Amino acid sequence: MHVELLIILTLTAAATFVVVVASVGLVIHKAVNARVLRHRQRLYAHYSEILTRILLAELPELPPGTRSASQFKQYEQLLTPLKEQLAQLPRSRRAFHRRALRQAMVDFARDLTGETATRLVYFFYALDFVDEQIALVRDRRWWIRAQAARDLGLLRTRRALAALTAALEDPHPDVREQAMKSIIMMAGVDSLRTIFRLMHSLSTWTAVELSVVVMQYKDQAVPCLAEGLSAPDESVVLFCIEMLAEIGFVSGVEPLRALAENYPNVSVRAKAIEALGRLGDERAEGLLLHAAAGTNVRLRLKAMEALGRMGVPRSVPVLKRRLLNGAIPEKLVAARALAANGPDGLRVLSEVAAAHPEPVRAVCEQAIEEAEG
Amino acid sequence: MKTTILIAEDQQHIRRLIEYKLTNSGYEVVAVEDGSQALATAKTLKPALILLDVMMPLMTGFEVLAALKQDAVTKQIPVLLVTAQSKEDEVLKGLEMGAEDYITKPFSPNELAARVHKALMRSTR
Repeated sequence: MHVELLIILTLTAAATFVVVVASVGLVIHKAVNARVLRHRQRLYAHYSEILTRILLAELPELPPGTRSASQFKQYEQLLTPLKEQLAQLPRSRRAFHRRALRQAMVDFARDLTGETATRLVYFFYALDFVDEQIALVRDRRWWIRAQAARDLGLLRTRRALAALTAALEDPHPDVREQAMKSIIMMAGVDSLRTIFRLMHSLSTWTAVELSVVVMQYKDQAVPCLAEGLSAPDESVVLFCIEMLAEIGFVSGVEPLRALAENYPNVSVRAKAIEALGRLGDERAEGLLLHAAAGTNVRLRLKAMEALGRMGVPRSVPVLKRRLLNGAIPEKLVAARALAANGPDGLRVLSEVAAAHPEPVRAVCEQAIEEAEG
Repeated sequence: MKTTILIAEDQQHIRRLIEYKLTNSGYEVVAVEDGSQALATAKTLKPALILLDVMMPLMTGFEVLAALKQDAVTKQIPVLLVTAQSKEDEVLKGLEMGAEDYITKPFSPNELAARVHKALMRSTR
């Protein structure tokens, strides 16, 4: 009895001890964290203040046509006190200070432009932050890699282009997206070529972001989009097809035709056919007529839709055949495409409706009603 | 006497940068970090111009602008909105609500000072 009581008491005391030690540890940990955070905030404010002063410091105006080296010399003079201040710090503290300074620089980069931003970029290079930032693009944690890729773009660090290009093949989509945006920010429309060649598995969000960029450049982006049709990744090919159709530039017709005829994946061929219909160029008519009479039902449907959108009079016989011989969904698409062909198409629909029983008649009447309504 | 400008901007580093720039340009600057402080300070201080960030905690720039334009004491004060570059709808909304002008982020501090100067010139005419 005594032994059992002793064991229970010992266990209780041990458990209490563990709980107390853990609680004290937790409190100490939180206190240390809070202290570090406060220290970091103080340092951030300190370096923001210094940056504000040197970013906005008035400099003697240089004569027009002066080499940029003279301007950089002026910037270097502004930076010297800060460099000296950092150099005096012990190694362990210096890293902490540099982190706060780098964060402040990145935050400024987000909101500044003009000569002030040029100055900031110079400071970033001159304080040797670029290599540190490039190393972060290879960090094992994806969010650090994504942030580093974004920050390199904000600071327009062209030396990082190789690292950012490599990040286009990162396993994490957010890293790829940030790298893509940074590259475009620095290298402009031509960088789309590299992006299309290296990007893979475009997420919906990335595609939306990329489409905004493409629409800014529009016609200038067409050669890159045409080249992107031969990208190794299908999501990139589909994106390029969609954008070519959206921009509506006729130089997209030939590469789209080649894709619609030869691409191994039917989904991509169907998308190319749809895009050709949206472009509405007569050079695609032969291919569309051929696809509308072909053996693949998906391609037939897309080709008929495209012919309907374009209103091609010589498609009437093919469409009539599909109306009579296809399954119900195909009959409906063929009937709508005929209706889109104007009076000739509507006349054929009326004749077929009068000569054939259900369901052909109902489909024809529906298409006529839709066209007239 | 120096012309007084009120800055409402929640990001500390940008608030300080604008404050520094405008002070160096010869203005008396009062800076606050949220919308409600901006409204209260505008009523008591009656600044010559307000530089108002659209995205702020507690009250957005639009809410502050609407309140300023409804108040007889503050409705004549010109307001410059600070907005994100990609948000054209924000700019239009702000101008329709009575903002004098707008500045998009990222911005050039020199251009900001010039815009402030111009807006003040227009309001004193």
